[in-house]
Formats: sequence, C-alpha cells, structure tokens
Amino acid sequence: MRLFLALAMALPALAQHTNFVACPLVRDTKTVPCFLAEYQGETYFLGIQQDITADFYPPQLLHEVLVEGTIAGGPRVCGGIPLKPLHVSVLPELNRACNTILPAEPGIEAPPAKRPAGPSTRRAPVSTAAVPPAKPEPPFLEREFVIQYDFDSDFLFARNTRQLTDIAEYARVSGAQTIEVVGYRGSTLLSDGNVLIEKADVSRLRAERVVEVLKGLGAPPTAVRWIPEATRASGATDHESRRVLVRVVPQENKP
Amino acid sequence: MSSSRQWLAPYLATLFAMLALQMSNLGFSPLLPSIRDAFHMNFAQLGLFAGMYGLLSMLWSVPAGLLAKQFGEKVVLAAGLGTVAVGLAMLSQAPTFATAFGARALWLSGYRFSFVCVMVAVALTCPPAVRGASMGILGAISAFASVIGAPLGGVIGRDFGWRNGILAYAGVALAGALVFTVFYRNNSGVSPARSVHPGITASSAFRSPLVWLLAVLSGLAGMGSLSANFFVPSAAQALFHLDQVGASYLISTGFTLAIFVNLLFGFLMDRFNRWKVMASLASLGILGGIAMTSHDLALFRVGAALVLALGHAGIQQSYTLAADVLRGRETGNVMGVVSMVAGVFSYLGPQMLGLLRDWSGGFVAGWYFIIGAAAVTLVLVLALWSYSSRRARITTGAVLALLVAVAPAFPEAPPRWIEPGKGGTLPAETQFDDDRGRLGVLNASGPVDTMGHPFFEPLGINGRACVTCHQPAYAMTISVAAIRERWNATQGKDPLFAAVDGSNCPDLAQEKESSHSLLIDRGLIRLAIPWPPAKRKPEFSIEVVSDPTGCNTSPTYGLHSTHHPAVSVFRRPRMAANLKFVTNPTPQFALKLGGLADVDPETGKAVSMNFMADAREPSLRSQARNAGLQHGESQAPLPEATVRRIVDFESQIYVAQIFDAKAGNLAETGGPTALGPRAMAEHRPGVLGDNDYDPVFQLFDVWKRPGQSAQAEFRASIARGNDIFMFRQFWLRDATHINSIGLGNPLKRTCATCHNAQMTGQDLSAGWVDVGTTNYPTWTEPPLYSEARELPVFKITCDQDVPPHPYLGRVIYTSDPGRALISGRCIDVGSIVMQQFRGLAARAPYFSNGSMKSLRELVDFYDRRFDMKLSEQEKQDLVNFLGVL
Repeated sequence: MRLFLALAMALPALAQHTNFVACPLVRDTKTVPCFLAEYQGETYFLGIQQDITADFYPPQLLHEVLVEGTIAGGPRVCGGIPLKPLHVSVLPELNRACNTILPAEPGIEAPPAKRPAGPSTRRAPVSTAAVPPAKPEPPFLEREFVIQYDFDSDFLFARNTRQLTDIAEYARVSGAQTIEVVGYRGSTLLSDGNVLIEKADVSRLRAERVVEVLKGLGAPPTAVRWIPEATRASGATDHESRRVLVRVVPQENKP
Repeated sequence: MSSSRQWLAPYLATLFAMLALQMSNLGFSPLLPSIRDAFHMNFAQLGLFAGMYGLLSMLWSVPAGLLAKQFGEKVVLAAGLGTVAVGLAMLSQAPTFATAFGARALWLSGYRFSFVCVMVAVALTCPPAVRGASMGILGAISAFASVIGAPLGGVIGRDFGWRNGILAYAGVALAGALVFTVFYRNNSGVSPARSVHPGITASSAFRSPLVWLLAVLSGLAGMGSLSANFFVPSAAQALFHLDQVGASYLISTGFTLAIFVNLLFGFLMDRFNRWKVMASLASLGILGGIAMTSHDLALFRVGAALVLALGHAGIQQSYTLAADVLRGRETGNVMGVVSMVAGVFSYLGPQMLGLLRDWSGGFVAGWYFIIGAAAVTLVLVLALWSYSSRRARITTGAVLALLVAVAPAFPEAPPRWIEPGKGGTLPAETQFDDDRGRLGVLNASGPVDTMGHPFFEPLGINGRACVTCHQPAYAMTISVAAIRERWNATQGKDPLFAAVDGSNCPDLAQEKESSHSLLIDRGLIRLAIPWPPAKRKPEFSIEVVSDPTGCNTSPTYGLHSTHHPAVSVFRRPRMAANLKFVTNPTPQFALKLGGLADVDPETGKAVSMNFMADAREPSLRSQARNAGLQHGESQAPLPEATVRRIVDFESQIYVAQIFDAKAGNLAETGGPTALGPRAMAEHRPGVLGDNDYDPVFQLFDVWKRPGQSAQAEFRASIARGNDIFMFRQFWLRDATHINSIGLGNPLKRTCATCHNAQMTGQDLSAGWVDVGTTNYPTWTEPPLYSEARELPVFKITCDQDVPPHPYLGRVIYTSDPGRALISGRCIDVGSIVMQQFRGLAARAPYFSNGSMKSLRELVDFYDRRFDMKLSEQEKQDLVNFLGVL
C-alpha cells in the first residue's frame, strides 16, 4: 500500500460518502461484540461479530481499517452512526496502537445476530465451503462475474470461494469455450482528500490466484491478464475497483 | 418322620444356611466395580479385596474344623453366619478403604467358619450312597444363591447405591442363622475315624496325603470360577460396555448353569467313576476358558458361564471325595484342611488375575491363567486316578502330551512397549493403564498378528518400526514416561534413540543421555526440513539466533550445510489412530489458505491437510513412504504392498480413554456417547460440532445428575468441563488463521470455535493455527533469557512486498516456524496443525513442542494466552474433562 497526498479534486461528490482509515474499536455487549471506528470526532458503527457466512467480515485489532461507507439515516447502532452500504478492509500492516476493547455498557446493545457469541444455534451449514454450488440453468449466455477484494489483498475469503465455485460450475455446465480472467488494481479517495492506491503487483496476484483456483476446479481459464495501472478513485464506489473479472463465454450451440 | 429320613430336616436346614451364606459371597461381585470406584482401588487392590476370601480361608479353615470338632458344627455355623451379617453391615457403612477392608475381613471370617461347618454338616447327616448327589444339591443351592444374589445386589446397587445392596445381604445372612439354629439336629452320632478309600489309613486328617491332594484339587478346580467371578463384571463393562445390571446378569447366567451342573455332576459322581467325572469336568473348564478369550459377547457369555458353573461344581465334588476319606470326628478337620488349601488357591487366583490385568492392561492374560488352572486340575485328577488304574496312566500320558502340544498356541497379552520384530498379537480390544485410568484400544478389523506386519517390523538400518514411535499403550504415540523407561531399560540402545532423529543432532556423542535430551525430556523427534522449500520461493529469510542442540549451525546438518541445508525443528510424534477423522477430506477450499486445499497426486482428490504438524504430506501413503526413508532409514522405498498394510492398520485402529479411576467406566451404556474407542469407531467423520445441538463431544447431561458419591461428583465435574469447552466465552484474539480469515479480531467465542470437529476436537478445515505456542512473546518457552533453553530460536524476516504475519509483523522470533517451512509464507510462521484430544491421559506431554507436561499446564497456558480468567474450579473441570477423552 502506498499513501499519496493528493489535491481534493472531487470533494463535492463525497457529501454522503465517508471514506477513512482508522483504528477499529471493539465494543463488548451482552450478546455479540460490535465493531466501531472513530473519524473526526464521530463514532461509526461498522458491524457485529457473526461468522463467515455473513456479509460483514469484521476488522481486526492491531490493524487499521479502511472504511468506505455512506452515512445512513436512523438511530445510532451500538453507539455509532450506521453506514450503508459499507465496505471495510483490514489493512495488512501491523499497527499496535489499534488495540481498544470497550466493556459492555448499559443501554448499548448489538443488533440481533444470526449466530450468538458461543456455538451456533442454527441447524444450517455455517461454512460456505461445505455447500455445493448452485446448479446453473439455461439459457447459457456470456456472463461476467466480479470477485471483490479487501484493499491490497489477493486473499480469497469464504465468500469469494463461494463465487468461484459457482463460476466453475457455470463454465462446466455451459461448456465454456472462453474463460477470461482480468485482475485489477484499485484506489480509494478518502474523505480527507487523500488517495490510497493499492500495491503495484496486486492485480497480477489476484488474477494468478483466481486462475489457479479455476484450474483446480476443472475450469482452466483460456486467457488471463492484469491491469497494472490503478483505477482512478471517485470516492463513491472505489471498493469496486479492487476486483477480478471473470468472463465466461459458453459454446455457441449450447442451449 | 421315619428314622431313614431323619437326615432330611437337618440337611434342608443346612441347605438354607448355605443359601444365606452364598448369596452375599458369590452374589456381590456386580457391586465390585462400584466399590472399587468408591474407594479408588487399582486392580491390584481390587485383587486383594476380592482375594482376601482365600487369605482368610487359609487362616480360619483349620481352626473352624477344630472348633466344629470341639463344639459341634451347629453352634459354630450359627455364630459364623451372625458374624457375616455384622461384617456386611459394617462394609455398607465404611467411609474409607481401610474400614471397608476390615469389614470385608470380618465378613469373610464368619463366612469361613460357617462354610466349613456346612460341609461337616452335610458329610455327617447324609448317607454315603447319596453323598455325591447331596453335595451336588448343596452346590446347586449355592449357585442358586448367586443367581438370586447377584441381581439382588445389582438392582439394589443401581437404584439405591452399592451400600444398600450390601446391607440387604446382611439381612439375608441373619435370616439364615436363625433358620439353621431352629431346624438343625445332628443325628449321625459320633464314630471313630476311618477311611473308605482302600489302602489309605490314617487317624488324623492332617497326616493323610490324600486329604492334602484332594485339598489341592479342590483349590485348583474352583480357582478359575472364584477368580472369574470377581473379574468378569469389570471385563464385561470394559470390553463389552455392559452396565452394572448387564454384568450381574452375566454372573447370574453362570450360576444358573451351575445349579444344573452341580445336580448333574452330583448324580454322575454317585453313578460313575468319580475320577472320570472330575476329569471331564476339568476338560470342559478348559473349553470354557478358551471361549472367554473371544471378543464375541455371546461366546464370552458361554465361556464365562461354563467357567463359573464347572468351577463351582468342581469345588463341591472335591468335598464329596474328601468326605469319603475319613469319617466321624475327623470330618471337621478334613473339611478344614480342604477348605484351607482351597482358600490358598482362591486367594492366589484373584491376585493373579489382578496382577495380570495391571501388567498387561487387558483381561486376556487372566483368561489364559484360568485355562491353565483348569489344565492343571485335569492333570491332578488323572494323577490321582492313575494310582488305581493302568488305563488311567495311559490316559494321563495322552492328555499331558495334548496339553503340551497346544500350550504354545495360546497367544500372550500385548506388552506395554512393543518392540519391533518381536511378534505377538494385538487383540481386537485391549486396555492399558495410564495416568488417569485406562486407555482403550480397538482394532476394528479384529486381532492383529504383529509378526511380519510392516507396522511392527524394522523398516531400515536403525531397527525402528512404525510402532517404535506409535505404541498402542500410549495412544499410538509415545509418552515421555515411556521414553524415559526405554532409555533406562536399554541404556539408550533402543532404536527409538536412533541418531538420525532420536537425538538432538546426529553428530553428537550418541551414548550420552544429554545428546537425546529433547526426546527424553520432552518427547520430541528431530525433523530436518529442507530449506528453502522445493516448491515455492520463500517470502522470508531465516537466521539461527540460538541453537542449544547445535544442529541448526552444524556444518553437516545445519541451515548452511553445503549438501542438505535444513532447518531442524523438534516435534512430538502424532497419534496414528482415529485417522478416519484426521484424514477426512476437507472441502475443496481450505479457508486458511485462501484457495484450494492440497490435492493427493495419487487420487486427484482434495486432502485434509490435518494429520501432520505442518501438513507437509498429502496422504497416509506418502507419510508412510517418507517415514520409512527418514525415520526408519530404509535403504529403499517401501514396497507398495508394505505401504498399503501400514495404512490399512493405521486406518482401523481407534484409541480413547475407556476407564477413569474416579469417573469409572467411561463407555457404559447410557453414559456420554462420545467416550471410549468404540464410539470413535462408530462415529461418522467430518461433522462440525461447533453448535449447541450436536456438539463436539456430544452432551454430558447424563452426568450432571446430582449424586452423593465421589464418582457422581467427579462425573459432574467432567460434565461442567465439557460445558466450559463448549460454552465458556472469552476473547479469542491474535490467532493467525482464526481471527485473520474474516471472523474478526478479537472474536468473542469458545474453545469449540477452533476445536470444532466432532470426536477429535481438531479444526474440521485444514487446521494450522498460530495460537502462539512457538512464536515470541507468547511461546511456551522461558520468556526471558535462559541458559537452560532447550529449543532453537530462529529469526524470521519477511520480505517487504508480501503480507506480514498479521499479529507479529515482519520480524518474528520463533522456536518452530511450523507450516511456514513448507509454504514459505510469512503469514504461516508459527502455525501448527492442531492435534486430536483423544487418549490425552496416556500420552503427555502436550503441544507439538512437548512443552506442557500435564493437562493442568495445558489449561493454564490457554488461560494466560487468552486471558480467560478461569476460576480454579473451572480449570479443574476442564482438566477432568480432557482426561476422559
């Protein structure tokens, strides 16, 4: 990761968007803990502890978190202003200053969780890896799949592997003649006008890892490339720039 | 009543006395496991407690005969039964082992006086022509007493506790004394001593050789029955998982059969040659003993019933023979001598079974002892018979020859330490004593003949076999205690201490104990991991900071060796058991890899990456091949057939704790369902247990019931331990591959979050985690500089363009880089695949680096590491829980 100080070129567009880097805070409650972050004197609610089937993957103490969200209306949650939509990225480098756990306080409660802090109470798979892929249905058309990443990361979380399984299954069932993989490098415009740009080789690492997985799943890509230049940051949908795009073109005569 | 039937009333009164006497004596054995648990007896103590029967018969039999001669059998018998009642009542209230022991002594003293007088009474009141039958009926009554006595004690013991079962027996004894006193009359008169055996004359029983030989015969004939009576319930519970009532029915089956066998042999003794009848009785006893060695419950039942019934009848009919030797006043002394010598054997029998059980860790050796006793009985009968018959001498010779011929066919019980190439049979089910009770070992495919089996045969030049480091008695790994014993026993010559990896470094002086300190003190085997890894350019550099063994800086074996640069790390051998759980394929994606799991190149299928500390081998086959070459120093790759047999054996063996000295039988019917090796064998692998409806080790609710006994209290502690493991929340933080895979840091969870695989407590997905055991500052080694540091220390410096270790950054000090030595990834430094939780009591120390000497140390580590703030009670509950897995 490299941090660039840049002129605030698009500040008017950021009225509702709140993008910042901060230490996460952990707030204990009588149920599951909440994850928060403070920016410019305000506390924002990021999410609660769940498990890897949830949409929200919590940040980590000892690491700063990149928050890319939009201030949502409504009451505070767990003492923080809710952001929706929200994307959080755990920044890879260690920051030992990020180490705050707040005790539970009366009146501060976490929203309902699918899974309690202890063992699961759901009689359903709690690992996406254990669920077979969805069966693709015809007609089989050219499709593009987007795999999104944390900032500066090529790690495939459980939510990503779920997608890759589906992609491989679609390629297999549709008799794909072309599977193209393209890796991208993103950047984020922060609310303070700074721009974060991902490390140089991340688009290659992302593309190569996806290729390796698709090969292992029996859907070897026919083409792979990566874009070394970072996507220009807008401050609005910058998380989408951290991605790999997989394009699957079925056989022409496949119904 | 006519004078010819005047003997009937006193005979019936004597039968009733016998019934009252034997209900407790033979029927109480189903309560023995509970008594053993209540007073925390080991098997040797149990043998003494049970075998005191024989000890006191040695002491009191002759005085009993003399008293019967002096005061008459009626007075002595009634007083004896009263003493039995008092002794039993005292036992029912005993607070300690010492008082229980004393009460049992009083009970058995009364028993012995009563018993001798019963025999005298029958000998004096019954006509000689029906003596065999009358003794047979007496035996049948005795057996009947056991038939109703065993379930009586078993049922009362189950529903009201063993103490009330014993108290019920006291009441029965008191009733017997009253009835006998009222109805018994001696109508025989007093006649001078005379022998009915031609050619044998003696005026004193003490000087009659025949009396002494018959006494030995009585002892031998009954030894198997008396011994089995005490041990069959424990064996039935341990081997076949019968509960207390099930075990008592097994005993009562034997004594039910004894009713008929006694009547049958009593009748036969009056109709046919008595020696022939006794010889056939002993022969059948041998067959019964052989059947008891079976692992089939039905066959075991048949064998146990035969041994119990035939032994019982054998004792009775020995008294028939004895009653014929001398008559009149000397009858008391004859019975006293026979009873005394029989007592010697009935003392030695349970003692031997107890010692054999403790020595071998199983019951089979005891069953062979019973077979041997029956065989010697047969020989003695034939010897006595041969005095009077030439044909008998020929028969004796033939039988002896047969016994000598078949003796080698009896297998020996497996020793605690199996030496490569020594042969022997590993039974289908066996048990070994360990720190907390007994480890159960189950070969699901049946007994294993180790002779010629590649798991048990040396594989290469250093004399090691797989079994060297994977011993059944130590949960298919090895404990430090066992390693120390081997060093002492062999002065370091055991192949275990081979220079290649059984020493701190091959270039050290191998005869010195200090050169093997990591193996002897911590149970660690040296692993020389080639550096850099062949398949991937490492993301970090590695330096040796501290090298207590000298191996990492050795010019020959070290990191900078010109020929084979390697990093020497030291790790515990892992359990080679319960492997269907450990090798159960992970889903295609390994969550901790952020990609696909490794694939077995031979099958093309994803593998578990869960059975070695660093997941370096994809399959048991490849592990066996490499272990043969590296640990066994095989000069050539193992043939495929050899590899297959090794893997087949490993894949069918299950181990788990089966008995706890305080909790009792862990595999009893109706108990927690995850305990014992059979539960391991029967359970489905690959089931996630991090939930509250089908948890990791199932539920222990059945042990949560309040109880007064020490056993109930201990079981409740275990159940609480399971709840702590499953439900006690704490901040789980800074654990790479747990917190770092999207779950967040910290994570408010429980032990079961990571230890989530049912039955083993491993992680169901590929399970390497940096929990902090090997990386500074949380490592298990001394926190400050220490001259006594045992493990090497490496400095890892990660490249700037790769993701750092998530909680330690780019410079990491570690005693074992773990998975990183294989993957080359910085993020993996210090990550070790977690291990099974089973058979822990048999295989200390714990953790991959052998740093935790006890389960308490293990719990303390986690308490510190995650700041769990466990209370003292919670720690003890966890230790108790882990100890029974």
